[in-house]
Amino acid sequence: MKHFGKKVEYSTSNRKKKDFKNHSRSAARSILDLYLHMRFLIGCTLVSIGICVSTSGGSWDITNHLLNKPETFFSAPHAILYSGVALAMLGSAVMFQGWRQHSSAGQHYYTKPKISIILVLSGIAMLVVAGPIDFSWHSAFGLDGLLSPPHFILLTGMIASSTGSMLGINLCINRDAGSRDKEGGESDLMRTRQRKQISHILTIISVMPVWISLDGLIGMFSLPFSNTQYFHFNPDASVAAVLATIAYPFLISLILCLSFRLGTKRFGILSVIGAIYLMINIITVIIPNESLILTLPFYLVNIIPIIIADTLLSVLDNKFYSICFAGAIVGSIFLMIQYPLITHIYNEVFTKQPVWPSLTSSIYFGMISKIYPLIIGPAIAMGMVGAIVGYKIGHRITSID
Amino acid sequence: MTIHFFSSNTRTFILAVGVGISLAFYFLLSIYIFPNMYRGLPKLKPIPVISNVTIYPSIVHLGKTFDFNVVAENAGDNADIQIISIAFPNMTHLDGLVGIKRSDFTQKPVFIKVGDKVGSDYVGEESPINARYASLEFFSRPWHSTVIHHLQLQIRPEIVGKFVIFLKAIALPHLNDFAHYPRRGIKDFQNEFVSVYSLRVA
Repeated sequence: MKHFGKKVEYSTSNRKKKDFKNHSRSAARSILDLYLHMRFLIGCTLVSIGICVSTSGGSWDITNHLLNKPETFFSAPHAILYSGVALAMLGSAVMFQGWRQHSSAGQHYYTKPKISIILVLSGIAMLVVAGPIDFSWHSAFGLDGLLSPPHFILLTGMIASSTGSMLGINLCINRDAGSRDKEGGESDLMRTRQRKQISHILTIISVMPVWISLDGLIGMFSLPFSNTQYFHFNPDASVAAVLATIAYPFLISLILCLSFRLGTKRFGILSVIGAIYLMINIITVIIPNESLILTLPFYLVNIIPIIIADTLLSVLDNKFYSICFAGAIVGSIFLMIQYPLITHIYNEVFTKQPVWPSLTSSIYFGMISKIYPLIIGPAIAMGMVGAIVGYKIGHRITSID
Repeated sequence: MTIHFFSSNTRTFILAVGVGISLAFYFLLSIYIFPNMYRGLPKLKPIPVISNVTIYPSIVHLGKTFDFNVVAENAGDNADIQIISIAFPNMTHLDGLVGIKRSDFTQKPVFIKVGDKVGSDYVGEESPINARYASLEFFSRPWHSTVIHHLQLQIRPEIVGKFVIFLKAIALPHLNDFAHYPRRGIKDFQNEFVSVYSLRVA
């Protein structure tokens, strides 16, 4: 018995040791898992911030071309643009390493973000290729137009990588939310609140570059800035006006409703994203042109319909008509949100005056009352379609666990 | 627990009224009040002035060079572009004959030879015509109010006799008669006023 008793004693301590080992192993694994998860998330966030910086630099570059006609590749907007690209490259490296280590550790969960990795890496590859091509293009042909092969590659790369990082960030947020749900009441309320706040900030960071880069794509195929000494890439004036009338309201509604859906349908995220977009436009397009500074109040009031759309969506939660109505409101203000660059598009069709930087506002305000009745119908319709599509995409992304 | 002070219908009604009023206020501002306010704003009036011109020496021997100095300013509001055009009616090209010794303009100058497209009637590229003689265009984009720019050329005339130089300044957008310099006198083939300078080549 004594012997048996001793054996029992021995086996109990052995089990304790084993339990301790198992516990420490699982704790170490969960710390490693958290570390790699964080690494992937940080990588995605850096890519999104990088693309946001570089698209904002691109927007400033357009303004700089209009105002100063820079004659070399080395300009301040280009420096901002390519610093953003460098940051996105760093983010993609961090993201890729995090994902690879997770995959090799047998975390099958991380097969889902594969699409985001593919998009980010292919986008970054395009950005890397576009830089030297852009430099050579400047050297060979001097001042380049908005639509040119290097610019198109650059913008496609931005769209791909920002979409990839948006997916990556939101998949991480979903996973985090899923694990929080499993924890249930055990988790601390403060911590949960903090996590939610961080996830909302990440949602905003993830959506912004997608909006600005897609905005740039529409501008590239509609703004008449692409005729140069060697190439005439300007789009047909009527086609450009139709494209702008259809695409801008669709994109604005799509992005704002997508962000509302990704931000767990809470009031505020749509408004913050709208406000950031307005701020970026103010800093990169309006303030550099001194003659437009007086028109800042006109531009700032655009936050009113954005807040209204946000209120409608959050109060009348998930109702089809609230999505349509919010989309219609947001779509109907595209002519004001796209000020002042949209002046160049409609001027080609309606007034055909030379749009000098100092005359932009007088031409815009001279034609707004004539144009608005013509574009309001398609703008509302496309706004509604954009809102529905955005909401559905958001639902699709948030339902991936 | 959320406490509601109103019934569901009342809340919807309040929301609808709030949204309606806010949207009406927004569209009133954006489509009517602000456009009317901004349309009434005065347009910028840049005033280009050529404040000093010097030619040294006043007589030059064939094969030798002389210096042509210009000081120009904008005495009015900011100009989107202001151009200083120096034309040489005795020359068909500038290669090896005109050199830039000094220039503090923000853009690179444009060398124009016979047959190149140039603007006319003070509307720039809106009304292009072919150049009849060689010229050189210096410009800054933008040219801010009260800013002064300098340029110094070294010119080597090709033939003996009177060597003529046409000089003019244009601010764009050209909205009134103050946007060009000189404001009267001789007109060149571009239908724009020019100041005439000359020296003897011996």
